Formats: sequence, structure tokens, C-alpha cells
Amino acid sequence: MEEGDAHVAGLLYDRLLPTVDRTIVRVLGRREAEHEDLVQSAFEQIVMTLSRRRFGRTCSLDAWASTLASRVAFNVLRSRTRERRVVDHKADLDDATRTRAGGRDVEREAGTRRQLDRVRLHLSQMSELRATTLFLHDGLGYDLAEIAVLTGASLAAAQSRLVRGRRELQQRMGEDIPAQEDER
Amino acid sequence: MRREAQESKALRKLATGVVEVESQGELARRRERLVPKLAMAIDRASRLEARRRQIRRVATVVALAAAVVLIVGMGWSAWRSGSAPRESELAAMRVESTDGSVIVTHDGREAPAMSRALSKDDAITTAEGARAVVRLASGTSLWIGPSTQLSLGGTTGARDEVTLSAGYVEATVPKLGAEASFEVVTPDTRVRVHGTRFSVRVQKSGDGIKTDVRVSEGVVSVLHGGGVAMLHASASWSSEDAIAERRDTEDRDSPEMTGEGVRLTAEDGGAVNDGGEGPRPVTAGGTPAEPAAIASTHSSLAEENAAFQRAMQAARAGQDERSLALLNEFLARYPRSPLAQNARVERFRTLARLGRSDAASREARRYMAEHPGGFASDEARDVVMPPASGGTGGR
Repeated sequence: MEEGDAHVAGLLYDRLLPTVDRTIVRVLGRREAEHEDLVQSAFEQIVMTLSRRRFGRTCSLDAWASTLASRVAFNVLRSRTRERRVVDHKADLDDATRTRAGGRDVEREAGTRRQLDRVRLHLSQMSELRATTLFLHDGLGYDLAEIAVLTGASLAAAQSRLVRGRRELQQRMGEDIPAQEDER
Repeated sequence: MRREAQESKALRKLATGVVEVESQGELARRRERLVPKLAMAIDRASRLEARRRQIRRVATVVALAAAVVLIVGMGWSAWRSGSAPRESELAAMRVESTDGSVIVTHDGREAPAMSRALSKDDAITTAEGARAVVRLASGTSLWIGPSTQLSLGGTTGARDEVTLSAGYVEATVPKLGAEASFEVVTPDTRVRVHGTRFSVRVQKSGDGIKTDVRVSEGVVSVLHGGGVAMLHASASWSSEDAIAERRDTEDRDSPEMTGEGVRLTAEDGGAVNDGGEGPRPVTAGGTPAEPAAIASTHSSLAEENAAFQRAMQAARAGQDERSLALLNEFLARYPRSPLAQNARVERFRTLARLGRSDAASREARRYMAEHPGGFASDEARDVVMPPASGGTGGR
């Protein structure tokens, strides 16, 4: 039994690790010290949902894995937001160093990075379902029907979450611009 | 709009950004660490799922059992409700069968009675040689003999009452509830029953009429002349005999016979009977007593004495069953008699002799409740709680 489990675990890991790993890194922005714990947590959720037959085979296993991984990652972001350390200060310091050393390209890269961090920050402050729906649709490119299945909601509910999520993110990003100008 | 596109673009960039590839060594080391943990998670999940499946199976079995019980219950209920129309059908009063000329009078109109429904206040008349069977709302079956006049007045709720003006009726009464009763009312008698088989006949006797009651099963109480007679199975009763017996008793207990309290002659200044109806008792003060008052003050006590003596005689002769029946009759007729306490004592004694310990115990308890500190309290207590045998002492 244990051997069987190990075999299945190996197959599952090899099959889904790229999806899980990528999703977590993209949501969080980098591979962090606790990355391995997050991967393990995502895999445990995948196993649990598979054993409870919540994965209904109406969507791809990759989509299912990326949904669960993104939820794990967004939960981490959310908890960090509560602790007010969503933007890694060390990373900011690195960006500043690179900017001084590398000129315009590096500066642009740092700006993009800051923008993505702001998106992550705002997503982490939104409701989990809105953020996940928005990320799955606008980020990973899943269609609404698939997202409805992935999040266990009706198509109308998924659409409503997407629309409200976009509006909320836009509003939050809009409120950021004056603050940025003040900083300059 | 442009802003919205920017956010979408940012999200797309977030989701599709280049992810740095880890070194093969790092990937292999991570795999070594995570796969065993994943295997444990699979094992844990499969155990958990197996347990959940087991719980689900048990729940399914329980639910199925509950469903079966429910279905059986509903079926039984449906069967019961299905049989309800039959009961209500039976409950409707109707003539079940006739033999010969049987007429039902309904609202003053007469009609043949063949298999017709009856209603309250209908009257049934059988011709000479004719017979009919009628079923009442309570399920009581009446076999109506020839030359009979019977009316169904007063059939209300749990109380069935039929009035027998003349003729013969035999009643088979099902076991009735505590509040239910069936009564046959004749011109001079009321026969009340709570579930038995008996017959009542009303016929002419000289200038008047008489009522005869015969009990086949169960117990019937007969109310006549202000008294109550309890008739058991195989017993019969006649109003003619009851009247004659009462007259005998009155004669025995009359002042002339006993010389107690009353005088009869005019020489003593008392009232004299007139009208040639025989001597009428008068009080010691010379005032003629009303017949009802006489019955309650004089003849009843003598009757009570005689009835109690009969019960005692039967007991002395070793006829405990008869003694018990006579005591029952006595207590039914004279519940407030001065001898009632003695009768109750004799009743629990008789029941104890007959080996009916439960009934004896009940009767003894009743005696103690009705006569606290009565002369046989200790004896009654012993019947309720027999003393421990063997003399071990103490409780």
C-alpha cells in the first residue's frame, strides 16, 4: 500500500509540479524560502480533493492544480498583507541597487516589478473568490465556464465575480496613482 | 478603458511572466523530500475517504431501514385509513337483514326496511313472525324479534340508546370504551351495558307490562325502581319479580311487622290509610310518609340487610364465587349503605380466598382509601403487603 502510494505520489508530483510551481511563483513574484512548504500544501489539497472526488473531470487536471495552487499562494499573500509585508523590502533594495547600476532598462524592469507587486497587493486584499476568478480568467486565460467548474460556482456567479473583481482592481490601482505621484 | 486594459495586461504579465528554472539538483532534492510526504498525504486521504465511505454506508443502511420503517408505517396507516371507510360504513346505522314484514318509520313515513340506512329517531316495527337485524353506530348488533317496536332515539356520541316499547331484542355489544355505553330503555326499566350479549323482552303482564332481561355474556346493570341490579352471564332478571320482591320486603319491613317507629291504626290517633290500598306507613308523628321517602328510610335498610346476609350465607356455604357476585351486586346497589364497609372487607377476603391476589390487593387498597382507620385496616394492609413468611423479622 505504501509502495503503491509512493508510486502514485511520484507520478502525481512529476505530472503536476511544473503547474503548481509556476503558479505559486507567479502569484508571489518569486521563489521564496517557504516555497517548498507551499508546493507541499498545494499538493496536499490536490490529493484531498481528488480523493473526495471533488475534481469532476469536467476540467483538465492542470487547470485544477493551478486553481488550488493559486488559492494557496493568494492565501499566503493575504496573510502577508495582514502583516503588511507583501512587498519584500529586500527585493526593493535589490531593485534600487540594480537601477543605480544598470540604467534605463533596469529602471523599467524595476517599474514593471513594482506594478506587478501592486497588483499582487491588491489581489491579496480582495475577496479570495474574486481574486482567484480574476487571476484564472485574465491571468491564466481560463474561460468562464471552466472557472465556474473550478471554483464550484454557477456561470453567472463566476461572471459576476470577474466583473466585480476587475472593477475593484481598477479602482484600487487608480487610487495608487496619486499616491505614487506624491511619492515622486 | 485604457486603464482597464492596463490592469488586464498587468494580470497577464503576472500570470505569464518568465519563471526561473531551478537546477536539476535542486529539483531532484525537492522531489526526494516532497514525494514521501505526498505519499503519506495520499495514504492519509485514502484512509479518511475509506472511513467516510464506511460512515456513508452505515448512514445509507440506517436511512434505508428508516425508509422501510416509514414505508411500512405509511402502508399500515394507509391500510388503516383504507379500512376507515369500512368502519364508517359499519358506523352508519342500517338494517342488515330482514325476515318477514319489517317497517321503518322515518319522519312519520313508513317504508319497508330492507337493507336501508337508519337515522336517529327512526322506529322499527316487526310484524308477527318477522325478524330484523340492525347494526348501530358503535357496532352493536340488534336482533329484533317478532311483534317488536323499537326506536333508535338518543343515539349520540359514545352513547347508544334504543327504546323498546314492545317485543324482543337481543343485543350483541362490542367492547365499548370507558365513556361509551349502550342502553335499552323499556317503559319501566333501563338496561345499561358496556360490552356484552344480552336480551330484553317487554310484554304484557296482567294490566301492565313487564321487562325480562337475560344476559348471555358479560355484565349488565339494570336500573329499576330506583335501584340497580348487576346481572352476570347466564343471569336473568324480570321487572315483575323485582316488583314482587320489593313488595315482599316492604311487607316484612312495614311498621305492622316490625312495630318500629310507625303506627297504623286510627285508634292511636295516627293517620289511617284510605282508598283500600292496604296499610300505608305513617311516621311516628302521625304524618303520612311519602312513598319515595318510605322506600329510602325503611325498606332500603331491610333490603340491604337481606342482600348482605345472602352474600354471607353463600360465603359460609363455601360458594365464594356466588358470594362475590352478591357482594358486587350489593355494593352496586347500595354504595352508601352502612354495611358497605363490611361488604368491601368481605369482598377482598373473598377475592383472597379465590386466589385472585391482585384483585384482592386492589380491593384492599380501595378499602383503606375509603375507610382509613377502618376496623379491618390491618387485615387489608396484610393483603396489600403480605407479611414475610419464615419469621426472619424486620424488613
